[in-house]
Amino acid sequence: MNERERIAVNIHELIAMLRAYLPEIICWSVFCCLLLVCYKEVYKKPTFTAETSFYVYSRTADSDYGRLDVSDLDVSQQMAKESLGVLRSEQVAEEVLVNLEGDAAALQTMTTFDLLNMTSVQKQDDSLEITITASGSDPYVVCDVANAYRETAIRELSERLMARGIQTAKVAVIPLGPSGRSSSFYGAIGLFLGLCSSVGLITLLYVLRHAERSPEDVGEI
Amino acid sequence: MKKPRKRPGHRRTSCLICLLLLAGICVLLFTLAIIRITSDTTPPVITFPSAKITYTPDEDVSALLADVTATDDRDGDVTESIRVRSISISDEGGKAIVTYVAKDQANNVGLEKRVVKVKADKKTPKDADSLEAEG
Repeated sequence: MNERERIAVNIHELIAMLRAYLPEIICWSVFCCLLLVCYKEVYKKPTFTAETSFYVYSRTADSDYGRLDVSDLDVSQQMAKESLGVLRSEQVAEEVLVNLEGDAAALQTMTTFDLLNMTSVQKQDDSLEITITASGSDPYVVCDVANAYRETAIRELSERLMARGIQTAKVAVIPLGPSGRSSSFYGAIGLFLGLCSSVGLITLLYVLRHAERSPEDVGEI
Repeated sequence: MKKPRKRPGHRRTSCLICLLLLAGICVLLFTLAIIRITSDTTPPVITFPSAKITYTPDEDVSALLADVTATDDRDGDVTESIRVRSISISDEGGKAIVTYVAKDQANNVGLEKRVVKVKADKKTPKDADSLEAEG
């Protein structure tokens, strides 16, 4: 690289340039902030989430009712892992739809694809608890779906895996408010993005301006 | 160190950019105001008579819904949407807190709690989470 192409970024000059463009930076950041808040308000519909869970135990006939031995725990872990695959099958989803009760239009027209899309089944490592989460725009529907899914899951697993100790851990209740990010979160993200993009653009302008000149010219500026 | 000054041409461009951005900000603020004014964010209000009722743990929750009403500022009467969210029976077993919910067309959920007497039952107290809310 020769002397003419070298670009020395003088931090004081850059800060002075940023200060000179401060009104533009502030306006652009506020604009981005409001833009993301508007996007959230117009396009992001509030989503409600209901969560329910149950434990999968495999209890041998010999073990006491109140205790699990080591072999029971190993088998239970394996069973809980296998049950995840079973619970996401279309057959189980169809069973859930049959068991769903309610007058909501969303329940009447729901397909297995919709059901599998709005629900998720998870199991934490080293835990026998399986959590079913339902998300959707109607708080009553998500609660009904989560509970119907749990009931069907317990019945199906008892039949298919011969699990004898499946117990409900948590019943889904009607969510009181939407889940997910609030408008202020979107606003903060917009403000941050606006600030970063404007500072980045001005830095780029500074670099481009100084790249056109020789070091002597830069010194004069 | 000399402070970098904007040239007259730059100053004009800068003012124009600021004006455009301010106009955009005004448009977005107006849009947000319209959205806030037109959207329904008030949940329904649930009301019930002050007279205490008695709840039997094994009976259907429809008895608890008999005299409960819900009204919304936009949708009017939304009594049909009322559900029992949970029933928490006290440790002593003599009373229970019934939590009602109602929703409007915009899916705003209103909540109200009511203390009811529990009919003497030998059963152990139940936690709110162990009772499934029935519609």
